[in-house]
Amino acid sequence: MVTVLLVVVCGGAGALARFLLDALIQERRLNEFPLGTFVVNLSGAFLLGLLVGVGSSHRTMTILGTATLGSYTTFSTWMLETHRPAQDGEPVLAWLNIVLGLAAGFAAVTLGRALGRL
Amino acid sequence: MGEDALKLTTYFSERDRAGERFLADGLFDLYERHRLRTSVLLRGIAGFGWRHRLQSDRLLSLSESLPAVSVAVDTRERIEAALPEVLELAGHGVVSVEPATLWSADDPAPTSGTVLLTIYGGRGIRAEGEAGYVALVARLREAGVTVASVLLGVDGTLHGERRRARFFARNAGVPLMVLIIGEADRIAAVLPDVASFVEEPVLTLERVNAETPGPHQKVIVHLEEQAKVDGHPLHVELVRRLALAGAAGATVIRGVRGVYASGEPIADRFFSLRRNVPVHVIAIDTAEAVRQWLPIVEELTKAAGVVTISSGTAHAHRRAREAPPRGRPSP
Amino acid sequence: MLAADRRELGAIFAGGAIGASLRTGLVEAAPTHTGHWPWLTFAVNIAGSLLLGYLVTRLQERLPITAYRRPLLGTGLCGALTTFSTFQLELLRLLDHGDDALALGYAAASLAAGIAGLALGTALVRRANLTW
Repeated sequence: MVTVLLVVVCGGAGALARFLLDALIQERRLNEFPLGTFVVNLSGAFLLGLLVGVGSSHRTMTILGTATLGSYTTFSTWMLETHRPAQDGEPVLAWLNIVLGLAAGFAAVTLGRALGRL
Repeated sequence: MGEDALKLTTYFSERDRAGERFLADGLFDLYERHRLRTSVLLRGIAGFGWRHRLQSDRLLSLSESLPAVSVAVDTRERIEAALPEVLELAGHGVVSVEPATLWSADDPAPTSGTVLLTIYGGRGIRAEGEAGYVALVARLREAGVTVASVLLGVDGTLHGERRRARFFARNAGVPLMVLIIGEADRIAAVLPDVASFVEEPVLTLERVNAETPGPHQKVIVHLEEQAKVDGHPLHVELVRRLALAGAAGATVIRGVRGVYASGEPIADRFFSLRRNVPVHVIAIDTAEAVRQWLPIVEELTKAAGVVTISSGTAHAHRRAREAPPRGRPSP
Repeated sequence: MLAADRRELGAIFAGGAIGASLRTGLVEAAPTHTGHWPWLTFAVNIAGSLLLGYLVTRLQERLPITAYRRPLLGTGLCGALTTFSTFQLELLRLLDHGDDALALGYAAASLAAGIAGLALGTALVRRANLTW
């Protein structure tokens, strides 16, 4: 039961943290590249790798990994911020977002796990 | 050309508030109370204003405060009656008042100059087996108008009645706004027919590019979403250059369907990633300031885009202290 | 520090709580087994992308300005329903297990379907025939 409550609260907190960090990063510039979401997703992937690397329990993985980091990171916003530039005639930006996101995200989760295992 | 009227356009940020409510809601409640003949709320896609912060719909978080445009038209007396309240509500917004005429079938057609014909009405009607506004754009293209663009409103009034779009509704009665620019003879040729393509239509006529005097000028660049300059979208470049040049502000609005001269109609299509629709970049400034930055606009629109200039009076109130925009960290 | 509306933050929190709970509940009920296609993450990511495309486009282009709908449904619900971190971890685990082809397929399909879903959601709002 406590787990359920923690999932709910951590889920909400994860989304909130994503919004705040994204806003902070995107604030001053009309960054054509969606840096905010990029940083959020990368940090989330890294932290998830770390959690796995240090050997977390199933319960920890559920609360911190699935609920919190799963909510903190986002796939849908990544897609939105790829689709819009593609549609507006900026395909380079779209490709960059997809490729960098995939590659850097994978690198982040790998690195996180490696560090966790140290 | 018709009944003496005024067009009242307010440019503001969608997050602007009038008391507890959004400014947009305050304005349209006001128009509803005054039973204005027609009004439309258009949501912008990019722009900048008195705070000189660029806003755009390309990124989820940055699109927290996009521009909005409210247009209201009625007879001179009725707009003048509503104007003081509008000015009081508008706060940071820019309120522009321009001369216009309300046209009906008994009125004479325009005979000279470049004319802006605007049709306000509902979108439900089907004519010749297609959506009314689709058939309308086709008709306008045949008639050889210079620009035709259909913009969808999200709130408004039509013949005094409030029409606001709702989440779980068809929303066909929410007013749309069709902008039509052409030489007087072309406009005169279509005037008798156009009303039948739109539900409960209200038609207005204005003179553009006419060297009429006025303390302020409204410059609109009408172009296509896909128009490019140096590989970048032209409308993005226009806004950027206007901001750099110190223009007072600019708002970009997007239509759903339109046509430029005798080109192919452009519209949202279901199966295409790249979409080409009409886009309008609007900038209002003092006549003197416009003289300063107009060359930039003219240079950028050499290859694409139609520029119209009209005169009017703009009211812009600046607060003594800058208030930080909602949802953003303080500067 | 942040001049954000407390109720807006509340809307994000609420949407996030719902999205995360949905996803976590489903994952607990139907966990991915080693070497298998991560169906659940795939499903929520595609569904969430479709939903986000539809909601964001509708809320921004077809409806009057509202304060809490997009934070609740977009940033909150869709953002939390979908996940990037789990997606990456699943790719890593597939590669660990030697399922290179599956990993590649999973990545490619997620991206292709994700974009397609987003585009479809958007197109449903903007569709060519707007009499209804």
